[in-house]
Amino acid sequence: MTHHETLTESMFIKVFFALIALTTLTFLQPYFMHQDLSNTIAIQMFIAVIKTFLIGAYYMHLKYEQPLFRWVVLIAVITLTIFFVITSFDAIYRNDINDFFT
Amino acid sequence: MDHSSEIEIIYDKQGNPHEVIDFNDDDEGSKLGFWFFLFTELMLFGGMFLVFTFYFYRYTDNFLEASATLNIVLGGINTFILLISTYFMGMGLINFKNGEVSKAKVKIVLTIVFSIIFLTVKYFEWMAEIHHGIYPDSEILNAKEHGIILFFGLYFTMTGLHGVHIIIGIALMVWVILLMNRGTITTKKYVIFENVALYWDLVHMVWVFLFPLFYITGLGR
Amino acid sequence: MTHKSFYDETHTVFGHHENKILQWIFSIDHKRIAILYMVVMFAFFAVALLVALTMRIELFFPGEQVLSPDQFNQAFTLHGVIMVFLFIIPGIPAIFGNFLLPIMIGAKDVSFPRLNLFSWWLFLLGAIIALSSLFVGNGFADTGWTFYAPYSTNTETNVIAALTAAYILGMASILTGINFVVTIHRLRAPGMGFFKMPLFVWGLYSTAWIQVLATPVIGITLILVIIEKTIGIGIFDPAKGGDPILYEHLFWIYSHPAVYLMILPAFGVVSEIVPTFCRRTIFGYRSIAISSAMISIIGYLVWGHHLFSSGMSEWAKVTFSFLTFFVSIPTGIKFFDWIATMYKGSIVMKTPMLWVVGTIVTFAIGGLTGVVLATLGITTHLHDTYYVVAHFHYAMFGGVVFMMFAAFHYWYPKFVGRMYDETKAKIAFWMIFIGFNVLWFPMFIAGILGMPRRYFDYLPEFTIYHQISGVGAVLTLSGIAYMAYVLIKGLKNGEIASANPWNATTLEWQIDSPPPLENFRNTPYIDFEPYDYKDGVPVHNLYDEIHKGR
Repeated sequence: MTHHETLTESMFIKVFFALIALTTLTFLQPYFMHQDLSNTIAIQMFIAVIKTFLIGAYYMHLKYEQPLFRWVVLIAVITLTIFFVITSFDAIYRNDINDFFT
Repeated sequence: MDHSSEIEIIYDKQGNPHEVIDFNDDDEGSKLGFWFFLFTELMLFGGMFLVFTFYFYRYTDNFLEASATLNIVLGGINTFILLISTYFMGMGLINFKNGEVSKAKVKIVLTIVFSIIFLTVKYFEWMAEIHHGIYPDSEILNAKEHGIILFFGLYFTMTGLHGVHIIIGIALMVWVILLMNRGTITTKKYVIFENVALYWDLVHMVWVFLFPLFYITGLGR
Repeated sequence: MTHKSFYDETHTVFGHHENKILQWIFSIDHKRIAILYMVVMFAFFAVALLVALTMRIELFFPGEQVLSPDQFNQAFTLHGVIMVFLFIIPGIPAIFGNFLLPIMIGAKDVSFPRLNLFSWWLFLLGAIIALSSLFVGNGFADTGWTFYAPYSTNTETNVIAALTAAYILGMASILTGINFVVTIHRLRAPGMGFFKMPLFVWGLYSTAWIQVLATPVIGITLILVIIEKTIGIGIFDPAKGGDPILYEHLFWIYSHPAVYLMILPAFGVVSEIVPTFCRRTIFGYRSIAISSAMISIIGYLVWGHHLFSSGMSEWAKVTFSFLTFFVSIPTGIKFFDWIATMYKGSIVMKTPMLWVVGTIVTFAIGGLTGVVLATLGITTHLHDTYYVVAHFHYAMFGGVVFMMFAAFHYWYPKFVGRMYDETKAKIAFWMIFIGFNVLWFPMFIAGILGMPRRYFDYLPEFTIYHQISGVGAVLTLSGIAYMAYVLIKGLKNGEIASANPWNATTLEWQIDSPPPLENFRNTPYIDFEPYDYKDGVPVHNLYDEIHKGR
């Protein structure tokens, strides 16, 4: 194995507590931060993304692996994003009148 | 046939040595392959989330209404249970790498225990819905508004798919323990254990996105 | 030449076996697995061709001849499912990728040989499930290979079996993709950087990424249809608020990249054959390599051009039309590079090169008619007509399959250790090439005049087109049968082939024909470009270095 730096027990535990804190936050957020729907979703997804970063980088060791592994994940995320964005063009504008070219 | 103990070295024109990677003994390759597999799992669940988002956009009010009826206590307990289970899995791997084999096995067993608790809680959640007559194609559900029907259709499908992955995860963990006992996984060669831990982290990651979308959006309304 | 080849010895799973059949179906040698795929695929290809012939016979006259209307629907579904999922998508990667990839990069096998065998077993399982659904219940699915909802969720025919089969075949495809990507990253011989790999490997690499990225999406789509059929969650059912167009989005998010799965390895084959038979290095190596990656990437953005008439929003339609025009550019780059290689090269017009020249014509037609279909103004008129059918057959048959035939004629001596009869092989080419154009070109015209696709019957004014096509079909099938005869004859009676009968440069030609079990006794160090010719002769000859010490 070519790991010079690797995940230590103490780092692992710190990340664990960070995840506990963030998870607690997701449950409390709707109560003490009264937000409309889009803000709630934005905050929840933001927290989810941070958690994913922590899990991916530390628990799943991406921080300590060769760059190729990070590229694999990045490409997956980009591909999914593309699917979401382009499909949304249909979802959002589906029932609009087709008068582009008149 | 098995030359895995001999490393092939070849030389270039300047006389520098180069090692030829032996596919029978390539842990980096195994890990890379498993990451590509996780990739496919990401795309699989990503497709499901695409469907969810599509209908959430279309039937927002219905979805929020239905979300508010889900049991936040059970959902919340499960969230923490899953998080703690990943702690044990990851810590077990760290223990194993440090040579503490029995500590590692205990941690894996704890992970299995917590996973079973997760599945049990999920079972009770489902039973609660089913007892109220809310399940795919039920008379009561079919009588509700479109968005509510779809919400619960997606609820059972996505938590069900997630649950199937948990069951597979449990089977994999049992297998890892068996391989440890058999000596196939050793403190020098443990890529299978690492890969199963990665799998478990992915299962957790799916839940990280699943529960806010299903449970939190309707909360406190 | 009394060396042992991979036909004489092998590695297996589940211990040692005396039985010859077990030595094949339990073999983890990538070369044997390639041949296992080939055998199953040919069998199914033959079935699908016969189904197509039956349809052509039915359509020779208006009215009902040999098939009832429902049977006709089942026929085109069966034809599509077999051709797409069992033949063309696995196609070149399963046979030529498996056989040649490790050899071309200087490796002794793929990264996960047992997973490779498992992929074949999954493939076989999927094939059996698909075929068996013909004989049970209400027979094979009648939805078209596209399984559109809500018809697919409501019909009584064996849709679930077909979907399950497709899902299992998808798993096989994913596992092969994972195997190939890791193999290319990890097992290249020392010195072989990415830009020293043969272009066929680049094609396989781009294909493998698509296999991994896109296939899971159809996996989940098929599962959702199965769940919909069994427990009725409602996601594609308008009565419950579901959206059939969403199904189409999900289906084509995979199935469009799937056509690049088909063509990218095929382009790789052409990129191998052209330099060999022009006796010079390929023009624009880097641009061909990068164009493979570009096709792979842009191919993800265009799926909506299958949904132009579905009711999608105008915004989406414009976006997809625009992006579809783009995807033709990297392919154009390849064609330009190939033709530039041929220009002023000393071309040796042997059978593989003949197939390549043929496909350059037919695939160009296929591709250009695709651009026509991507044009929003015209597409509504041509949607679901014979124009579309002609377009994709020109691209898939005139492209992928012709290139596969080229590959068979090129690598035949390497697989078999013998050569086929050159003259007879050329006759087979002409039969197929002429038959192909007689079969499909009239369909462009019929389509423009309004002949709908997947129709069991038609108005009398279209009869002439169907009859010309029918004649073309018979000629094409005769040509394929003749080609098969020529290749099979060569197995026993062909001239013995040397390691490098074409005087090519890539690594598979530096080892014996057929190859030994371990491919390379000594791994060579690679510090040169893959198509290094000087004055029409390969510069590097590694045969002795590789076999030293035998």
